[in-house]
Amino acid sequence: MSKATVRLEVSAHQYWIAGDVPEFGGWDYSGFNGLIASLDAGRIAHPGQFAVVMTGTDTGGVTVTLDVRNQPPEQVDTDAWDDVVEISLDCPGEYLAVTSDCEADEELPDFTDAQPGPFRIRVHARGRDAGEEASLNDIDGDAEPVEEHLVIAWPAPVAPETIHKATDRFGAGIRAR
Amino acid sequence: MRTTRLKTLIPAALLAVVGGLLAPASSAQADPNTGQIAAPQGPMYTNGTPSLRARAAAAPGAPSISITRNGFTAESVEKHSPLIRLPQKEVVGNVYYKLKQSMTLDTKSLDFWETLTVEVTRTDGLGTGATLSVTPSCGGTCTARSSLPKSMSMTPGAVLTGRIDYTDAVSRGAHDDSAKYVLEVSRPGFTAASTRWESPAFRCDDQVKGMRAGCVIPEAAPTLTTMKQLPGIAQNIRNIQNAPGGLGIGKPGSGHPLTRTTSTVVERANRNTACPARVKKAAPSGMSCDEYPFAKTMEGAANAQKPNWGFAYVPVSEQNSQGGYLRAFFMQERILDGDSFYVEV
Repeated sequence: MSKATVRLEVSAHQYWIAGDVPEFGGWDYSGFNGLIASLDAGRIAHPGQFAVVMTGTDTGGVTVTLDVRNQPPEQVDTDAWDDVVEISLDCPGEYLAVTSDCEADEELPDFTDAQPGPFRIRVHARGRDAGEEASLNDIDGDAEPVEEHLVIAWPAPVAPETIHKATDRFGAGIRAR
Repeated sequence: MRTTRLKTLIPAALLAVVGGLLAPASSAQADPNTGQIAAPQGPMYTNGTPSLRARAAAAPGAPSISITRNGFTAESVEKHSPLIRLPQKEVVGNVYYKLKQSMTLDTKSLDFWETLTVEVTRTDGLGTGATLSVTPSCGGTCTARSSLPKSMSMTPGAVLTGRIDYTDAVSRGAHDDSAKYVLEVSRPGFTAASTRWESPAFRCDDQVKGMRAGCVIPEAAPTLTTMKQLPGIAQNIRNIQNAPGGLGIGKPGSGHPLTRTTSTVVERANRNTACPARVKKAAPSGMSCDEYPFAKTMEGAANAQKPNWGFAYVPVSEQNSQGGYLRAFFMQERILDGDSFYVEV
């Protein structure tokens, strides 16, 4: 088990969970659950080769915890979060990582404990609406993040996506597009 | 095509310049430290001045080098190496040859390779029957393994050809290097004349999180083409690249590439300049403020003058896709902090 919490600097409302050399293809978000887009060759797929996690925050800091386990979590915590979605990733290579192209990337654990996959990825988010609202102001690099994500990953057979909870306005806006 | 002529990419200093192109053979000088004699060669693939280089590159049969992000191919004009008799530095013969090289890098591997061919065009004097060898090397974490024949007896029509394999062991960083070559013509009892040159600079790195290490030629600025698929964003880019009196910033062929930055300070400053709060709040429903040059570049609004930056309202979905396209491009081309690239729309 390895776990770390960092301030991830996101841009374009997103960070990635990317394996080695994914097939990027085009970008078609049809059928997107609004939180974690599990993509294969640019289309929503289960499993995906990599994932884009959408943040309400446009450009700025988001508090992100990555918790890599070798066993599934015993229960789903929906009370403390606005949105909770689980998907499967089957990434090529052995370098799966959470990344937003910033230095904080380095402080997050890799997925070694859960190798070789496929992986089940559960993303929890809260404060995305506040993040989106704050993004309408000029960006203040010193401001505390108003948005928080928890990513739990563990090895598991491929399964369909599970939307445990989907309540924030930001995600509803994405699903409506 | 990302092929570009050498003259725009490689400083002349990167290529070993040993004497002038037209210098007579008798001007060969022994190095007082090593006793080695440098062959009176021009740089391997170019003439001395930019204008000469341009002319040479345009003429048929001229020396040429084309460089992409993933390698280079090069062909020299006829060169020659003299065989020298000391102490009078008397030239007793010559070997004339053409050199061809083709190096292939891999953005997903630290192993890369090249083929190198020396074609002997003619020989004279004691150059006939002399031996020729080429020894490649690279430095730091890079190692070169040559499968070239160790040496070859020189007669007209002789060809020395083979493969050179390179491996870089860089870890958690980036290693800038180039391949170095020494060509020697020798004969027992005479002094070898050596010709030295270098490949274009390459870089191997293990800095792209989530991807294995790989190598590129960083001077070869790649072109992002996927913005064409986002109509609103593409139009905004077109407007700025084609603005009257502007630089054509980021446009292929403009000579004004964009420069990637990983600085969040620069990114925020660009974003706050191009899309300040009052602009973002005025966005129509379903639209958001998009800027060009991108916030993740040194040429962004905070460091630019009108008309070389601008914003437009584009569908939110386009902006989300743009983030993916841009990051995919940075990963695939191994565009690190400070690397240049162009945007074609």
